[in-house]
Amino acid sequence: MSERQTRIDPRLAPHQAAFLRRVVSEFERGKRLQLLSPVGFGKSFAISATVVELLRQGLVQRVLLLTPAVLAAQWKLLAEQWDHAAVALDAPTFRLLQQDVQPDESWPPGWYVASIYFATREDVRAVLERQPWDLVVVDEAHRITGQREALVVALASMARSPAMFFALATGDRDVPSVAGRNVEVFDWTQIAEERRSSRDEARVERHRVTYQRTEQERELLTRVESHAQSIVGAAGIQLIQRAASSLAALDDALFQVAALGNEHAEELLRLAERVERDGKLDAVASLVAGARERQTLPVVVFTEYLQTLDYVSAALEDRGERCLRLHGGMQSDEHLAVLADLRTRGGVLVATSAATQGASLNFVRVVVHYDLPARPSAFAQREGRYVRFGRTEPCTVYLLEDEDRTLAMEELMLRMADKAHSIEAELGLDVDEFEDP
Amino acid sequence: MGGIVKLIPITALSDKPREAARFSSFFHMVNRLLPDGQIVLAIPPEMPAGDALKLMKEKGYSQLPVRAGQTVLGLFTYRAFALEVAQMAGKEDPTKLPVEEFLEHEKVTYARLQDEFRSLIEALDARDAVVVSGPDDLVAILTPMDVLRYLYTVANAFVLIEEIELSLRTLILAAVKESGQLAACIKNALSDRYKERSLPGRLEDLTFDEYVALLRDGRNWDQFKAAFGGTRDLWRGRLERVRELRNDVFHFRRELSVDDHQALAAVRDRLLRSCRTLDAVGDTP
Repeated sequence: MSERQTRIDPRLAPHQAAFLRRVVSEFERGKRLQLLSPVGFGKSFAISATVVELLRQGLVQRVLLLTPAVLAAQWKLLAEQWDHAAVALDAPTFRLLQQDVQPDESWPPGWYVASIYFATREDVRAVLERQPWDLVVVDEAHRITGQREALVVALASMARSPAMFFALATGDRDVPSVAGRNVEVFDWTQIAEERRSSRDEARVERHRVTYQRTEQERELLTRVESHAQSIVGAAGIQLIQRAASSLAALDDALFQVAALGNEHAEELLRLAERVERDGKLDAVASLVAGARERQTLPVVVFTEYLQTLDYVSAALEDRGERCLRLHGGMQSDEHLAVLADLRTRGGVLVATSAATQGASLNFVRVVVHYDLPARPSAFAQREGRYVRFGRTEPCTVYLLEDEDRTLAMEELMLRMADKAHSIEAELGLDVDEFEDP
Repeated sequence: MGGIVKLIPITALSDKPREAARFSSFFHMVNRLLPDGQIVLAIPPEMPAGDALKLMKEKGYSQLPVRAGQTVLGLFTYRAFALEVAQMAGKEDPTKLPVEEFLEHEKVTYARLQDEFRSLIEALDARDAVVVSGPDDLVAILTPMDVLRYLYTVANAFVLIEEIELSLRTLILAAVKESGQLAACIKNALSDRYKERSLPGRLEDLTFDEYVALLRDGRNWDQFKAAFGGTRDLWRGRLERVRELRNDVFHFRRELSVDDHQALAAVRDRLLRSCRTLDAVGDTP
């Protein structure tokens, strides 16, 4: 009987605990459930706690969680936070299971995490459909479209009764068709108003910091911008985005194009290689040094590009900062170790946005956006890492602004970031609604 | 496809039970060489050659195993077909004849999943393909390209890192030709690390991390600038990535991703460019 008593971990916020209680108590009714959650409400944290509780109580034996590939490692980390080892169902693990388990036998009980793409691969799907899943969880269900949607629905329908189907949407109010009919909606957008007036949000201060680019930088960026405008299609925009990120990201792009024999890119590359001082890098280094002196560590520096991450982290290290790095190429145990290290020993984390998806950074004291993502929803995702329930210390956020506004797109990105924030703060709407489909 | 002859069921490789080898799975045996998700397609001996050729073109295969029941009779290949057609005297349309008329004359070589692939190199050279069988059934067709692709995947990171390390050494040496310059650079960058121990005197005695430290030291950069090109800030970031990937590779922590390979290749290409610039001005290492 004690096994069936629902345990609520103190780390869960009230809305997360309420979700867990309801799912566990109503699980055997076999309802499909859709959780709508704005960024920063800890939906993945709540879901992981709920799955582990269902497993602990023996209500489910085998759980399959389907997620975008970029989030697969994060789900494994979340399970580890509840002392549960989820199985990352990737190609090598799949092969091992095929070796060890006879085709007419079931895989061992447990929680399996697979990327949506991998799980819907023809040969993998055929095997997954034969397994007796008690629960199928679909993460970011609203992003699944086209032919893959039908495959995911078919796979989720394999869940044995009582079956549960979480369609986790970030801000989309319409029930995604992947969730099917008779879906009970658990809507956290209703408590968004409460958050906006709560101390969690109030304790985050945002500032713009201006910096001055050197003359060499300005010349380079002006010429890059003019070159990019002559390029048809997305390549030109990508070049500007990289230029707005860092010299390293720009230099990498120029090198690749120059290698194809593009003389203009070669000329720009030579210019990039002559830039001796980087005004933005200097500005960030002094923000970080200031945070260290004021003892407001840890600091997180966000970027979109791996080249920028390498460039900034190596430069900060050479200036004597204790630097940690987090990017998508790292293993899940390394992710966990880096975040634990940052929490306990402080320092500076330089991270790509993609690598921090799903992570909770509610303990960081200073955030620097070295560059900005091109989409408002991606910026909201970044903000969701540190504007979160459970924040106990104030946090200062810095957006960087070129004094001379050399790149027009940089100014647009800054406005976008302001817009993303004001939409949420003033209108109570999610930024996704303002994006092109 | 000819309506009367059906294909023998298509089987995905990953659906086939592979021979269990939990403790020796990291050895490079035949099973490691087989591409994931390979679809093994066998054809019956009575299939018209024209249909088989069409199937091969459609699927991009260069051969198809011909199977009667559980027995593999041989391989139908473009080469075998061409050789037979060249010898045919009659007016019969060769595409209408069954594939069993065109099998490779050479005996088919079979391999098991746990065989050493080295033992198959001669057979692959002579016959272009080896039939891999599992405990009960045909599992895959192994081609020289599969072996080449596999070896390239395994070796690529090591080769790139070797090129990066040797070119770093070459460029550093090119930059510090005068006597005492190298020792001064080593002293600037490594004194704190070595403390009481004596500093290395030769570049060959330095580790990769120490090469990077030489370049990252602000006091040394003016010395290296001309040979490397670009700025210290840029090289610092590039080499940071290489250092991390090198550790992953040499400590066998994980298989590198496509992005990782591209990152290594990008740094290698940079260094090649710097070396070529020195070549062009007629400098000597």
